[in-house]
Amino acid sequence: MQKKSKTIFTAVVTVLFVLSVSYFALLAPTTAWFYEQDYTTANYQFEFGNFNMTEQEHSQVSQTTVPLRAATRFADTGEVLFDEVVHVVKVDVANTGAVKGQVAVSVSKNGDNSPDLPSWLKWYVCESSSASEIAEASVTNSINQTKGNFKNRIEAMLTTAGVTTQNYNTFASDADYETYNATAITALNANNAQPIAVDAGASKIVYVVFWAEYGMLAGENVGTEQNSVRFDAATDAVTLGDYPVAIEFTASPYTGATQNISVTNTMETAYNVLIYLNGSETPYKQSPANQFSGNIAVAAGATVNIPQPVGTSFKLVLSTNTGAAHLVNTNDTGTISGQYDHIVTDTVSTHGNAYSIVATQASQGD
Amino acid sequence: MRRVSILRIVRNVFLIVMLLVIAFTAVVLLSGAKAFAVASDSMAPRLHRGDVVFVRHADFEKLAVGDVISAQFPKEDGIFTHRIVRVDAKKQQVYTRGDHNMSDDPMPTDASHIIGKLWFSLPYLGFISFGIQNYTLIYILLGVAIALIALRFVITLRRKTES
Repeated sequence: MQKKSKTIFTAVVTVLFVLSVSYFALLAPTTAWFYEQDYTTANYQFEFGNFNMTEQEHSQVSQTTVPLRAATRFADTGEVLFDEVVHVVKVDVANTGAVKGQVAVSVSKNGDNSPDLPSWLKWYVCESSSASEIAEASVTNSINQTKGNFKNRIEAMLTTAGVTTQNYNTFASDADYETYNATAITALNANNAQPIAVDAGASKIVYVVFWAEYGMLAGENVGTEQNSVRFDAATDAVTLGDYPVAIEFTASPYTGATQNISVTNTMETAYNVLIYLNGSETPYKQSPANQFSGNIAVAAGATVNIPQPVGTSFKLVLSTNTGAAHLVNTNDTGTISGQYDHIVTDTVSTHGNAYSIVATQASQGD
Repeated sequence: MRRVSILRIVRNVFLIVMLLVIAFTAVVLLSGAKAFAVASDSMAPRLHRGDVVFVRHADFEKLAVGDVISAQFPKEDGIFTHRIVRVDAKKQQVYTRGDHNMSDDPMPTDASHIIGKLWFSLPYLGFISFGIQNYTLIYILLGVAIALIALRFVITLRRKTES
């Protein structure tokens, strides 16, 4: 009986022991954000994992030259040489940390105080999990060449955005083409504003595709057109030359979808706005520093877009306070009762948030 | 005789260890604490990867700057354990920072996401959960269980033989 009791006791204790160890074996991990880790970049490799939170961002700028062989049109179903004339920058991105992250790409002009790219220089961002998934097209100069991978991807992106690609020859007028192009470029900009998610421990290849948009290259080496590739008939050259750009990769914790906080200045002079995110007392700064500093300049007649994760609470402040202008929600009629607003608080919606700087009416004031 | 004694000693040592583990686990479970395995060094030197933190529920009003808390990420699955650097009682939020980090975490944490305040931590215990992902420890655990049962049978058999 005693032996039997001992046997049962041993068995019970063993089972409880295994259960106890299993409890610790199945513990949920508590990982954490952003402890400092050195990152290395070599040419077009960018590694990030756990981020240096001093700047709340971890960025790397690659200064490079984009050789533009010719102008082309991305919004053209007949275009088959698109992949040949674009310049592709391929960057290996690796997340060596324990937290899912995301990488945002921004492009500005390099070596110039003016950060803005010329309107005709377009760029498109896409990703691949492996080099074999998307091969950089090697297209011969033949009108019968099948469209390359990047052109296909851009057309798929346009379709998803509700913009049907259209053959150039079907436009009734140049004005129709310009209207269509503007819509397509809006979809392109929205695509480029979306960060690319990279799981913890995973890597991706990010492609930044550059080209000179045909319809916006007025007066540049205009010559005989052939399959939408423009070249200079006088010199028989199909290149437009090199253009210096600064490509910035900014890594941050994964926050999901982003939308724009857009501010349109309807006034005849420039105004500045400040944005405070998630109750922060420090104004938001978006790299590169010469593009969005604490004060965000909105030129007369211009629109500035600041992409932010959906659900982000923010305070938008018209920091140039002359009394002559105020902020309105673009979707509103603009009617202000009593005081004018130079502070707006809101949350980034799934459709983005649009505001305008408009003139203060004589009857309004502090 | 001597071999049986050694076997008995080994078995008894095993039993004592197991009883201690069982008792410890029971205390943790009965106290309502939750345990998490630390997967990163953001709280170094206080907490290191492989530590296990035991947290207990604490009312928001009792949380103070300097407390280490475990909380759920605001916008995705997962749990982080950091130190409170500021309490916003009005908004029922806390601002946190990892001891090893250069600055505060990018967003505050709502009271509803706070799981608990650090009660105590134990080093290295978290590696058990890391190791289980490779099934290595499962095999080790099974081996230990089989070894204990086998030991028992060997002792019983030896006694029968001697008697």
